[in-house]
Amino acid sequence: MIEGEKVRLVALSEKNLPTYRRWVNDPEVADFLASMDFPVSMAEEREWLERAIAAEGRDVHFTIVTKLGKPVGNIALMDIHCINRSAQLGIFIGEKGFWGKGYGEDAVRALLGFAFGTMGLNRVELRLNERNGRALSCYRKCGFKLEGKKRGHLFYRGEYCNELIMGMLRKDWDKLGRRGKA
Amino acid sequence: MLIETERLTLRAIEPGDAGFLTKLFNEANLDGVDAPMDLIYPISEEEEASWISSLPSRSNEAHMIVEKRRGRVPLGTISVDKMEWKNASARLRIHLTKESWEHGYGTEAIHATVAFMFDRMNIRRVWLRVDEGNARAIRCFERCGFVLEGVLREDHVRGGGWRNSLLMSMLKGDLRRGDSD
Repeated sequence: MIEGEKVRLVALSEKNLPTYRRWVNDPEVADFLASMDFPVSMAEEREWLERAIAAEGRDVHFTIVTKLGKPVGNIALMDIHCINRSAQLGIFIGEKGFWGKGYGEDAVRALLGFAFGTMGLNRVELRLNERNGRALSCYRKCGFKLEGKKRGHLFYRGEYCNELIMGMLRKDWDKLGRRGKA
Repeated sequence: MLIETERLTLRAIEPGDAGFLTKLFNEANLDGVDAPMDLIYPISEEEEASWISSLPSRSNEAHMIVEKRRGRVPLGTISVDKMEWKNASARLRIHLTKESWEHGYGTEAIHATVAFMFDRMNIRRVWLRVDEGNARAIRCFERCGFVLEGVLREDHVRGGGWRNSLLMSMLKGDLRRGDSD
């Protein structure tokens, strides 16, 4: 378990499968999730869960739960590279009532503490749709630096738009001080 | 994600839908102009269940239940298959229970699915095949913005005779925006 200030990151659980499925089927939640398209069945969501668990070592997924134990979203480090000591961060808050209240930010900070502290990574990278203003401001607050723009990389709402690449290095994290507070 | 319209939700097919789908396809008159074109004989619930369990492994196609939001009543199925990524083209199929006809549900489901294909899946062309005698369906497709492309002469057998189909399609620019959603 990884402790944040408002949330904990816990292992994925089969018991949460209907919740996970509800999240990815919610058009508002899935809006910026590049991999989510057609409606998702329980069988498909189960396959995702099994793949996510089997990818241990390359990907590590967690469910974000409140201190009262309510699951509100998922977060992951993916494509963990042991030589480069790098990984890709992905997150979504599936419970819309928990949007805009700092839960995602707290989960990202907790995961970064784990990535740099416990796992000893040197770099955490993430990509996002340029139109996803809420995510952009969250990552900025966490201390991610904008590193690049892939022009026309994403097809979103009928047109091509840009994907942003952000990154954080261990030295950036260390400068932010404990728990990423500047 | 779910595809949602004013009155409908399009969701994934679950094992629990086997009974509904079996009933839906078995109540179709196999010799009628509105029967699913590739349906040959009555199907068992077991066949339907095994088809459902094959769905996660089927790439380049998506099959959904059309459900009324109020009461979550299933009205039928809508599918997209033969997705060709290179050509940005896909085929549409829809089959609704007789009781749900004439309420505009088909138009609503098709409009939302086609918009989803254009805006989310980066498809440019959606096409379909319909028995030339299925006037009700043809009217619905035309209302959605489908354009007649041609006649497939004697491309299927039904009711003891060879019958023609119409080939219809909609391009991204044909979609009537802001019409029914």
